[in-house]
Amino acid sequence: MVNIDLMVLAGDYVKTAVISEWKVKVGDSVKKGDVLLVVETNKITQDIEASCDGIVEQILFQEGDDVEISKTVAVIVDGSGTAAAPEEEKPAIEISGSETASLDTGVRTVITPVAKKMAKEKGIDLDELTKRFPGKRIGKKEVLAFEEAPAKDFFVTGQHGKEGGETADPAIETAASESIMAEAAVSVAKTTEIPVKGIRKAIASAMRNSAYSKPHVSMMIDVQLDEMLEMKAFLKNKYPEKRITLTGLLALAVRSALGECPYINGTATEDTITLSDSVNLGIAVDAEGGLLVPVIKNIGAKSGLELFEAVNHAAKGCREGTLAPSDYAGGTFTISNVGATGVKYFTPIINSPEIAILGVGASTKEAVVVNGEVRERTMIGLSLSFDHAVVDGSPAGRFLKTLKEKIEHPFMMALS
Amino acid sequence: MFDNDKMKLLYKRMVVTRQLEYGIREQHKAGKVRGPVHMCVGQEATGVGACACLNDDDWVTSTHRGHAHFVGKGLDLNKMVAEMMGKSTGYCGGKASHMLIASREKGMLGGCGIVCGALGIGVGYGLTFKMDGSDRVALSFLGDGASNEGMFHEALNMAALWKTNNVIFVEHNMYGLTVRADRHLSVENISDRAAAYGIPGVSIDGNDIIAVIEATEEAVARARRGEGPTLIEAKTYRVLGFSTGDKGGYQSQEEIDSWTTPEKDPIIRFAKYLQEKGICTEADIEELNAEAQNDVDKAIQFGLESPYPDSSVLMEGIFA
Amino acid sequence: MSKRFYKDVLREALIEEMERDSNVFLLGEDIEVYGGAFRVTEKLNEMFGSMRVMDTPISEQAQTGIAIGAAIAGKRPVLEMMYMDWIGLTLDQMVNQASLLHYVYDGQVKLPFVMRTQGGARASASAQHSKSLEAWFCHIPGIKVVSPSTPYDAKGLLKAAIRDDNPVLFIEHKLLYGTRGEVPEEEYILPIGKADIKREGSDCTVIATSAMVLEALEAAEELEKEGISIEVVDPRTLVPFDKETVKESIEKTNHAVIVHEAWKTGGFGGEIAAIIAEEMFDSLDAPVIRLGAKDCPIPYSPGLEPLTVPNKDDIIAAVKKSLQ
Repeated sequence: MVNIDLMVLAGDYVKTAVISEWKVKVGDSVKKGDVLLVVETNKITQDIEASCDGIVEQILFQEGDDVEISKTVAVIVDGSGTAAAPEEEKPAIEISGSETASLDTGVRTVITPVAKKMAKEKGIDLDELTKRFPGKRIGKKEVLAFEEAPAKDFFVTGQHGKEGGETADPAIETAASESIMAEAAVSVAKTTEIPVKGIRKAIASAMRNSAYSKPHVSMMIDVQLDEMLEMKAFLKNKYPEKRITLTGLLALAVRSALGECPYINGTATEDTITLSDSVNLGIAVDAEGGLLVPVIKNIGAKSGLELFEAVNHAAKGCREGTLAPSDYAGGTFTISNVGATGVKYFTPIINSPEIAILGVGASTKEAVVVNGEVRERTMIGLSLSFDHAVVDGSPAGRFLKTLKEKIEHPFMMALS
Repeated sequence: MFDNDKMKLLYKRMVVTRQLEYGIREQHKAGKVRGPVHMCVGQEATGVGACACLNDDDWVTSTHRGHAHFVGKGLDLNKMVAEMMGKSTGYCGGKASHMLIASREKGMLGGCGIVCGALGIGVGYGLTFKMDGSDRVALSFLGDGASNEGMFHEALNMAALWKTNNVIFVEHNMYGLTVRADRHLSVENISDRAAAYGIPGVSIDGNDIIAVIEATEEAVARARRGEGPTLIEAKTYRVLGFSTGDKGGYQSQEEIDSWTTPEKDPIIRFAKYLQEKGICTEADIEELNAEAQNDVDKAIQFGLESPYPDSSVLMEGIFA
Repeated sequence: MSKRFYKDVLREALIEEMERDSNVFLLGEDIEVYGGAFRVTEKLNEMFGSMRVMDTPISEQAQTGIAIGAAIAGKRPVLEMMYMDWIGLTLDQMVNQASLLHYVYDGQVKLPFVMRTQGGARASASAQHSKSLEAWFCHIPGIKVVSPSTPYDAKGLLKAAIRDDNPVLFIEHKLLYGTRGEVPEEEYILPIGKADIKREGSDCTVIATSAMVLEALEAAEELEKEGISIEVVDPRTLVPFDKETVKESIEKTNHAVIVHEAWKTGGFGGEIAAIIAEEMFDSLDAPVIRLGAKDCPIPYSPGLEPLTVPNKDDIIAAVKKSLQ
């Protein structure tokens, strides 16, 4: 007998997924590799395959359910009657598991005897209790705190004592957003109600989570693109078969600037800042389902041409849906280019848990004063949003200034 | 000396004791009496003779080899055997075993499985009798091995010091478990140790019931007068080894034979004495033998037919 | 009511019981002429005569046997065993006679005798004169074990022990003899087998015996200043042990710290901890903590001896650890 779960989605901070479609029903005969169901996370849509031949014995969740990826969603019994080989070792992910977590992936929450007794008497679900205090020993104090305030108040962390390290809670759906949508609908004659679910819901959660947990400050700067455009023209001439994009070139400059300002490259939670000497660059892509951010790992190890290629591959693979879940994970910095819309400056939302995001606007020809005279230059707006809890204004500005220099004088990249 | 009826009773008691030992040994082989049993065949004169000099309210402390003491103190044979079989009808409800039999009514307080373990208690009795101003006496049996225990010396010193109403009766049967007396005693006569405590000590032929009675009567009288304890050392021999669990081999057959001759055997000697004194005829002796056997058989039957104690008594009586 | 010394109220108890019942008599080393090594039997020989207050030779084994025999024969002896360290010499008589004769002789005899002894360290009395060995006797069915911490408890419990028809080991403490406490003028008896809450509290139960009760009370004062309230439970009798009082306390506080002066390993605290774990598990918010003497022979040096025995700071630390 084999339990099918969603652990194939495991990656940084992916805890739940929404079941968008079941491809089988109870009693169906399946072969190894058949798609059993399709799930969506805030990053991707994923087919979940059968890991063995057999018959679908149980389906445990419905379409639309938001399920923890460690949970069993379906059970396949081996038609031959012998036990199917178990899946390969599940990664040991720290989930806020239940008290009877021996079946789970190895983390057991301790609940003291009197706490168990009190919880039972008060009708408090032990799973809820342990979710509320992940990684903590649950004693009488915690039970009483839970009783006082059962719903976790997202805005007021620390009100009931120290809580676990996670600030992200992707499954939160506040009533406020629904009522705003409803209000807007009432003022128009014909209303259309679209339930927020699936990838929209996942993106919405991610946006809110990032916006509300990181204090965003955005800095804008104008950059002259002319020299970089000359570079681009030269390269296109030299490598006609390669696709050289502005995003690729900007990625080069960002790499170089991050090298000099490592404090911007990494992730941060409420408790910990994790800086990295490897730049895993996310490229925001406007895909069919919504905004997706594929990550190019360790761009510092690539040559310039390799980097251009990687950027193209990431964007293409993302649009075509051929990337793996791990291709969306592990980012330390993101570029989001909205130039196609004509927008010059904006306040991008950081791709949490990263520290910063670089927004790129449209490039326009403008009149610029150069050495006392008005000249035509191609200007582009860069908008850096950064987590002010983690990085102060001066260092952030310094990064932008460094980046501007690399873009305006590309030969400076040869020095680092 | 005692009247004829009593003398006949004493003879019968000696035979009862011996027949009891052999009967219990049979029952032990049949699994009806369990655990090691310490039999006193050959030592009938000491137990029966010494106890004959006591009243019911004179108290006796015994040893692990006390069947002659129990019989000599007039305990009920049925209740004795039932106790040895662990039955609820035994003297101690089956809780004691053959070693710890006690009867408050008959002043047997009581059997004791620790070598010299009860001597201090006996002195406690003698001290109490003295404190109460009564002439009751406590007689404590012990063996030659016990005379080497610390308790022996401590208790004798205090009994002597306070002149308690005690008789200390040592049954010197030549062996401390498997070790012969000449290999464990620093003196030949344990009665010599009495001098160390300033009390009279006397060695007698423990297989001669008359000698036993004479020495004991004198010691008892002394104690009743408040003059303090006397140490009696009665030389005797244990014929059947240490216990039913004894592998044997350390008492030579020669030695055993030398103690079971008609000249040495206490029962045969007393029978001869009774006949010589005209107290019993040969027929009387035969009759007493038969009665004794009958009593033992009946007692064994009683024991076999009695029930074991109910499990409900297990946790009762731990505290008064 | 007046404040009287622990050793003096013990004497009061002896006098009252000896006057009440002529069968009560005392024996032991140095108790008659000298008045006892710790002055408890001072002048009692003048009051009651040498037949009721008896100096004995230094023969602990026979002393115990004689006390047992006298008890069976109708007396109520109170034997003083000067130092608990020597109680080993009495063990055969206690374990093979006193504890079991009533049971094994099927109730034909009663053994109403009291063995008074004292133990305890921090008096520089060295390794053979400083021990607390109650655990040995707690293990033997048939012997009651009593350990009073205050003059009030000592007097009431000694009277109860003398009136009890069973062997009672009555454990005093060399450092408690000189302590004073409020004791009524009128006669009173305390029940054997009932614990006493020496101080009420809400955050943590501290079960303490003998001299450790005083340490626990001092710890309570200090903890109070930090806003921590401990409930000090004094079992007073170790066998039979008052589980009910302990259970009520732990249901209230959900935390337990046990402290005794005897060595931690194999000490009676282990028995109490096991009882709590078996019968009061659902009330616990933290593991039970035991404090006892460090597992080493008691050294003489004033620089070392105080380190062996728990003190109020150890109790404070244990309470805080339990509450973490």
